[in-house]
Amino acid sequence: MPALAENITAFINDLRQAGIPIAASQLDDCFRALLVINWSAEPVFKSALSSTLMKDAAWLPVFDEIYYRHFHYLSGQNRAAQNKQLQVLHSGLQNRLSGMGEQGGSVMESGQSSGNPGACQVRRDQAPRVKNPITQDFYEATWQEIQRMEAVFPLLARRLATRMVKKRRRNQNAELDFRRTMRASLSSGGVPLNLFVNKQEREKPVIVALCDVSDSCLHYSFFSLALVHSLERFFRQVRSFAFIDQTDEVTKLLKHANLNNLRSQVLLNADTVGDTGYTDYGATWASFLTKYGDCLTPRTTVLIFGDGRTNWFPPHSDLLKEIRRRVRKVYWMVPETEEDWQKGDSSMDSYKKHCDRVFECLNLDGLTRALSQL
Amino acid sequence: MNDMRSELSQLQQGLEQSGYICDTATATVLYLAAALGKPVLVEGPAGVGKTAIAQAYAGFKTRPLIRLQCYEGIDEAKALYEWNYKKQLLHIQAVAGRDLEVTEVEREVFSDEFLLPRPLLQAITSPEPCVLLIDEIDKVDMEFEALLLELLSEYQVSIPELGTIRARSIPMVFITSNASRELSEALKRRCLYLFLDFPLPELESRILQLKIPGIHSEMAAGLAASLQSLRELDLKKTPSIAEAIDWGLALTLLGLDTLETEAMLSTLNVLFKYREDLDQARALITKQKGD
Repeated sequence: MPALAENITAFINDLRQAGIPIAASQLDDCFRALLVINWSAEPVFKSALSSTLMKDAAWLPVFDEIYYRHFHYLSGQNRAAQNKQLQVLHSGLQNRLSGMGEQGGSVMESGQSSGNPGACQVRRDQAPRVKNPITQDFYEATWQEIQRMEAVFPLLARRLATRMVKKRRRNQNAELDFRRTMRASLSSGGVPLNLFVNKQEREKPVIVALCDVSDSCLHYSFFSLALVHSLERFFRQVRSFAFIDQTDEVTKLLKHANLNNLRSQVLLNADTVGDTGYTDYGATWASFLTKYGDCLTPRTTVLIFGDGRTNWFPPHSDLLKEIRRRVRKVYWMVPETEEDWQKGDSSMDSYKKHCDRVFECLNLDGLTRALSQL
Repeated sequence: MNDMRSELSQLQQGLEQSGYICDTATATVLYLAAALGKPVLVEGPAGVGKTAIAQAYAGFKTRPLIRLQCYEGIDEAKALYEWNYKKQLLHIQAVAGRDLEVTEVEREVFSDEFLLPRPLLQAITSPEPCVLLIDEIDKVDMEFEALLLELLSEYQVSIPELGTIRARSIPMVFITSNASRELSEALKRRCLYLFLDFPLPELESRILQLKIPGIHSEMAAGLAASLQSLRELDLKKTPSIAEAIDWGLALTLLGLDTLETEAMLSTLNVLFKYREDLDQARALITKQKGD
């Protein structure tokens, strides 16, 4: 029977590997909680772990997955056997903790130093480790990993929104509202106790998002679309367009879609396939300019999400230059590193010149970073 | 260790008597919060009973409930304490004619008498332990969150003019959040985390029976089942438990013992507050009837 302290520390290590932030003080709480609870029921055990280690609901699906891998043997057996195992684990933990008090080491260190692989170690090694969905690159993600990304997506959208609010607040320069301040001071005998200020709203940009929804950057584009739309309230207006070799507006579709049905909504209903059905940036620029050229104004910020791989079609960077001329800013978010821009059919080098800035967004983390700089 | 088990079931029963039914996982978190002296951060969709859990806990322990409703722009003055400026001004004017040392006047003006305690200060100066509910923390600014940190970890508050005030009793703290923005890591770290989701049909049916006197058990089960399927729709606002109870009440007032499609359709506006949602729900219920 494996000693539980090792099991728990291995469990926590796996959670951390998967990107769940767990502070040292939380470990302390976790072990304290495990000593306080009664070990005879699995829901109690699980609840003690999740309430001390988890701090955000978005991580719960990932937590459940890893929990299942480590402590699966607790469920599925009959209750008596399950209880017995928990009892054994519990006494193991108590021994471990009391020993540690004498040594004066922390729970984490001693748990890690003496690796005592037990029965459930085997189960863990069979399955690949859960990777951190925030820092995992889009291009190599499996379907299951994409789903994990979707699970933590609300967390990122929230984080990004919080960053935007902070930034907006910093940029505000407040001016005294003399009239309101004087009016309020009358109730305290003319002493202005509360100051009121005029808040100046900065002009919000109009966002035009262009997304490559071809196979090569499908997932990337949908996360981008969803993120941009989660920021809607920070902009005057957000308009989104999807393209493969032809552009179509998807703003309305997005209003009624959620992250789960976004792909099917856009792929089924948007008219993104033109003559060839292969990604063609040149044709895309042309169709965008003729159909939606009027949305390009000096207030507009254009965001392009795509890998710039043109399938050897002419890139027509002159058309991108024309787009740049008409708007305030053009930003390009590429799901590839700069080294890869030189390789194969990528035209990023020629497009780069007409963008105010190109961001490398290999994963969700990169994407949120780039968007927070708008 | 067996004490813990009986305490847990006692807790569950006690909460049920105060009108709140919870599962073992939730009860465990409450037990741990009391045992470790930590605040509970409760998150979950709107209307799932985040506020109710604090109220029920206070009811069960017969402790006073002190509630701080958060909103955008709340500050120390509204949450912690405020000097009663107007009274201070009056006092200064009143003593102006008398021959007093300036320092003495100052000392008088910054004493307990001129301090207006707000919920947070009330909670820690309360002579008997109380339940402190900080509702909708996600509405406040980052600066305010930082203010809470000292209170939540040390159970003490520093007031520059008076010094540090320590808690006379450790309050049981509930913090609720609708997760509309990310809370700071420092705050989350100090709390135990409890995520409440909509209850499973079996649990919801028990909740309905507890809250609606005279409801037929079959009816409660039927309502819970249809609520489950209604919540799966892509709605603007998912019906909350409170609304579900209202719906059950409306149907019982109509004198029904079993669920009838007609009656369900005509009372759906208790549950849904948007026309689009209402249309979707109608379509679903009519379809279920057809099946």
